[in-house]
Amino acid sequence: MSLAAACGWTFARTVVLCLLAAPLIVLIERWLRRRSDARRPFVLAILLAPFLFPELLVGYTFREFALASPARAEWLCAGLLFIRIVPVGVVALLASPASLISASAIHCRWMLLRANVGSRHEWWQLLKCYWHGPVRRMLPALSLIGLVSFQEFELAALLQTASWTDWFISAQRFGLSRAEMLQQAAWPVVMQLPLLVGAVSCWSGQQATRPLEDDVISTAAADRRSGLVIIYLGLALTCGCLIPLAIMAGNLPAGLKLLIRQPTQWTGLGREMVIASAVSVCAGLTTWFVGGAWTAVPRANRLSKNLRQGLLWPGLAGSLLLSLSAVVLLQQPWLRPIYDTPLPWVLALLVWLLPRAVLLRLWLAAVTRTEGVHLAELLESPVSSSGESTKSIAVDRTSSPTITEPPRSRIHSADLLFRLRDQPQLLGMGLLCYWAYLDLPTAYLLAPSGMPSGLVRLYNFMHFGRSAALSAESLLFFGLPLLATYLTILLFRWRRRHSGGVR
Amino acid sequence: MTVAWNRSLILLPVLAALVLTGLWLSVLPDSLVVYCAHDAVYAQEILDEFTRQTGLPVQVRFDTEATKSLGLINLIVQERQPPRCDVFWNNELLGMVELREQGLLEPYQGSGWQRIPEQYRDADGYWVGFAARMRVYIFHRDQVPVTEETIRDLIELEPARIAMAKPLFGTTLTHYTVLWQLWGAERLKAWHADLRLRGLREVDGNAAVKDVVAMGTCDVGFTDNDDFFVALDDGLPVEMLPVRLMSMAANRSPADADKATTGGGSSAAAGQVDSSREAGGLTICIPNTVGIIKGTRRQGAAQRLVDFLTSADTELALARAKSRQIPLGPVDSSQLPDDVRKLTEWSRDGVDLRPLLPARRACLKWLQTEYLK
Repeated sequence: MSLAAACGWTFARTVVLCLLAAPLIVLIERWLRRRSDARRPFVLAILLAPFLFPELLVGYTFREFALASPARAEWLCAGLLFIRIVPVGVVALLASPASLISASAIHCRWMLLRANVGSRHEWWQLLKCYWHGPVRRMLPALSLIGLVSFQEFELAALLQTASWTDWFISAQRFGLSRAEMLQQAAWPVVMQLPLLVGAVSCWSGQQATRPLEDDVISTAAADRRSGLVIIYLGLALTCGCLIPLAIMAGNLPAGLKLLIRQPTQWTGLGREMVIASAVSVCAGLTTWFVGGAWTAVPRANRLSKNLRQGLLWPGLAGSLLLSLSAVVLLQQPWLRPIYDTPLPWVLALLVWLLPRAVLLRLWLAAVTRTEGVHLAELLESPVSSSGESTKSIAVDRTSSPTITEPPRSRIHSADLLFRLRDQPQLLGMGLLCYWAYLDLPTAYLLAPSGMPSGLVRLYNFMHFGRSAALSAESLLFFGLPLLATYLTILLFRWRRRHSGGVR
Repeated sequence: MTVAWNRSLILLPVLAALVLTGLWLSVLPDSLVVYCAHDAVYAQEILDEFTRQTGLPVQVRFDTEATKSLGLINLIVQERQPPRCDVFWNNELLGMVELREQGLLEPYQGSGWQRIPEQYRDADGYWVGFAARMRVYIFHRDQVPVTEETIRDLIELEPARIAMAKPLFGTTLTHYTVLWQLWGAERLKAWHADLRLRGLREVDGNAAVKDVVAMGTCDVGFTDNDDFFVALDDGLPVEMLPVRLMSMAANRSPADADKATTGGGSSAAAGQVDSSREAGGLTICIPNTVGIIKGTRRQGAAQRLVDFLTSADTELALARAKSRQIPLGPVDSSQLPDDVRKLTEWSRDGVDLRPLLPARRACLKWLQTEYLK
């Protein structure tokens, strides 16, 4: 398949998936808004699980099934991609500002149109209403899911479906000249351009707001559809996470036995995990802080705003194009000294993660600046309700053996603040690091010799078929960082409780 | 987040960067950098054994199953000044001839070079072959009879039941190069186009060929014997036959092959199994090869690795491994598994691949237009 055909095919798949996903995204977003605040994190976790689950494991699980026929592989790839893009769309829509045109306004336009069916003006006004209302609100979400779908690499490679990403890896390995590679890269870049423009509009600085009251559908209608949403979530979770997890877990005992018998194997895996973790933490957290600086810059003139948004474009083009460009660039004599170092790997991850970090920052800012957080902060502040400083209380109690503990109310407020404000931020940092940990193209193309990421080795072995040892290694490789993140959060929580929330 | 927390969190990436730098510095000075196109599942064990025996650390870079060999060759070409790789363990032969032509290899006639037959080594010691594989047809034995007749019938009537890896890379590229030489360009192009048009199942590597045949999706596939044995050891219903070629045509010079570029397409469908009409045709026996990269700073260690890989012990180890590689030099035959003895017989009819570089270059040029337009 030529590059043009591969790009065309990938683009067609993307368009179809976006169109199919759009109504479901709207449905789930409305359903989510109606969930109580207490249940929403749980539902969000279920929704996001298929997107956050390592796609390498999903591809590995379904590879044999896909090999049966190219048509089956294409259906499977499209289905699994659909499951992956819906959560992205829902989160983007949740973070989007409310529609400027309410549902009732559109309804009124329809009524006007019924009275003047032949009037071009009315039709035009109706279309404008849709454009400035629901369509405009959906655009960032659609662009983001379009980008995720169009830039798909691992799933397409493992399931062997047509994709421009696979074409580029083959071309790079085939030894296409730099000039040719850059020339050919124009195809996917141009095709992504509308999606990139739409996605960059997400970063216009607007914060999430609740929809206008009459945008919220009636409870009766929503209840009828909630069954559909629950069925979808169940299916997505089963296909996107539980089946791969069950297959891996089933192979775990036998695989672990094999691994334990081969010390070089598990020490090698441990080393690869340390390397991948160090790179991920370095790139992930640095991007987190850069993202913070990006969002903290006050609104400036148009030029500066455009320049800042321009910084996000390379990352939005996807890690594959980014890594391939880096490889081409690093062949220049003046850049050769850093070629065989971890620096290009870390830098590429930094650039790739920046848009994600900014989006996460904006999202978290919207989520964590709530009345609840403000009240918890007041509760935690050193002035008690009676006007007495809690600090002085602590000082007065120094003679007692139990006085070093902070007051109970402050422990509670610290706990509350942790859950409402700090935990989401820690999860955001963990997520960035985990994305860096899971990114195959950068590790595949930019890791220096002697410092491989286990991801590349696992990806390589996955082409040879399924085995118990490989399943166990994969589960360890992908699971241990999650465990580490969880333990880190517990540790922070414990520290916060015991420091009594001292700022 | 409190300010104190943010401060402590800023230390984390700094710490990670320090760990990374430490790891990088620890691998840089004395490790031997090996690029390896052979399957990682088998090669890693051999290289670990080398480190165990010699104490020399080895850093290996593998390529994926789909793009192996050619990907690493191009990487070596790109990195020529200064080279990052010290030793290249290739899984085929013609890539080494190409690297030698480009002046990227260092000659070394060590103990391994001495023991390997002339057909599988460079005359000047720029590379040396060892532990070969055969190109074979893999059959799903419950679905079709295991005969060359079956292949001919399927090629003529139902190519959708045949699987093959994309010929851009690896041993399938060598297979195509041999066919290019044997049939001439036009006949191969016509055969290839015809098969693809009629639904030949192209997958991303020889392991995937094995999978689709073992699962019963296809009846027959073109693969390597090591992939076949993986399926056999898993208890799957597969059988194999060697790919055989017409002996006279295979020995034509590249110039002759170029002349024979017209009128070959008519009998293309049957061409692949000409051997069934002419018993005892040549087989395609593709050795692993190893060479030292020119400009290496660790020549002594590189030479030790070349000697180790081409030793009788390594050949025996690879013969006894799941991949059942065929020893090319003299080894104690009593230690060889039965499967390998049979393969050794077949390998004696192996076509001499060394003169095929012009055919490979021409074939690659054409394949680029086919797959990477």
